Amino acid sequence: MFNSQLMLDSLPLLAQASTVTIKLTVFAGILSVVLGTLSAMAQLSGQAPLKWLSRAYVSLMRGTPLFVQLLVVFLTLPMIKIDNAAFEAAVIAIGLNSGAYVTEIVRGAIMAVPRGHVEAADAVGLSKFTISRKIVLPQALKTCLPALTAEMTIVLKSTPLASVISVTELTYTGVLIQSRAFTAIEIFLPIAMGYILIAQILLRLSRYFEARLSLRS
Amino acid sequence: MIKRRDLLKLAAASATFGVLSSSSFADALDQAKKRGTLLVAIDPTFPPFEFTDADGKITGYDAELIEAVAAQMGLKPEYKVMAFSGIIPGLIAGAFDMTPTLNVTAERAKKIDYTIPTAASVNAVLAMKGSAIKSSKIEDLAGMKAAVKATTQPEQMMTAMNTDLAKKSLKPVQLFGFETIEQTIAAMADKRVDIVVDDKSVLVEATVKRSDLPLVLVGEIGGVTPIAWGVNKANSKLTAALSDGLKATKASGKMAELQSKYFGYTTDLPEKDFIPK
Repeated sequence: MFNSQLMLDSLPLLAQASTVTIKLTVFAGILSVVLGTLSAMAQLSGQAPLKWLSRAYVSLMRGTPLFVQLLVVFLTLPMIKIDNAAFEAAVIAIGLNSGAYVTEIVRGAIMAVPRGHVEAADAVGLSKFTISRKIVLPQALKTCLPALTAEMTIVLKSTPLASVISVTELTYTGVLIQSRAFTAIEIFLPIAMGYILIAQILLRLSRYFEARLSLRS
Repeated sequence: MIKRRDLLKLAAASATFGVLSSSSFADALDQAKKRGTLLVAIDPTFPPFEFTDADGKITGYDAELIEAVAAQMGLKPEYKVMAFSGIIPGLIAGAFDMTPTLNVTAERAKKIDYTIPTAASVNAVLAMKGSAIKSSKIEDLAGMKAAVKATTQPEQMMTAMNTDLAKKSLKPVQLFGFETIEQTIAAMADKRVDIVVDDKSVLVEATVKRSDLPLVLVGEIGGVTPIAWGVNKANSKLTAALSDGLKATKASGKMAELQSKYFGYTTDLPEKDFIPK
């Protein structure tokens, strides 16, 4: 039988926990995009050491489970005398992990910028930095936005794993209530809807920026 | 600042005192006293030992016991709420001071230290009424599907029993690991498994909570295992202080009172030689 009272009673706790999920998604997402962009530029820079560094990073992050990465980051922090930093550890681990995938997304988008645009900019005497900033990255951003949004929804959905390192986010809060109330559907239905809502916000934001970027070009 | 000469003295002292020195140096107990809090890693999905109330506050047998012992030490418990699979790795890495409600096993005793026991656990087999199970003897369970909590002592016990079954050329019990006890029971209600194996008091609590299901306790399985709190091996001072605190709760009758409140019975617990070989 569906216990709607239990569902209503659980909503305040779940709402509180969803702020943790949102914060984790936003911070890890920002870290991921920054790292991924830098790493993609490193790979295309033509500098061998940078290229190898970026490739090593991508293989390391794509080749190991996020679960392991979370534990490694979380358990390394006390060794370097940083205590009580579970949330930060989760941001770092999820950001590092996703950054590897963002590297490939951004790299593909940069390579899709027509060679002629760069050559033309070079011919009129623009510096390498200006070419990157004004010609390559804006066009690449437009190309990679849909894939980047998809990656951010993956970041959102990987946040429950942070519960193994003591970040009490939305899903684990559900597990806590579930083990007290001995019932699941009343708890996980609102949780699923919570994730859909957050993902929808991400998608809408992405659509908005996509529309703005097409207007500008 | 520590000078090199002091370090040499320290090294000489360590050599003299052998094992003692490594444990008495920068014990987590001193750090906890400085901080004023006891860092407790806890997975409150395990009623009646630890669970959350409607406000999300952590409560249960071990939570109340921790509060009592910490108060004696002049400390406040600070809970690190996390899924069980992260707890023992974190304890070994020194991410927190202690964790409650660990079954004492020889395997774990190699990696972590235990306080004196806080409870005794006997595992039991839970099934649905009308199922074909004859008894909770392992031979009668051969070939069945069993739900257990992943990475817990009942799971390890069932794995060990499977090797015994293999020696008698019987089919092993197929094990399915879940995160919470509620999920194991839901799996049985959905007929995805035949039985649930877990701590008896936890299963009794579950039958009360899920009185809508025709659950039946088939019987006990395996021997009695003590339950204790786990501490990092480097912190023997903390382990000793926690054990002393537990002894005091025994003497004052507080432990017996909590046992009656949460288990419905009281139990005598050993203080020595409780770690299985």
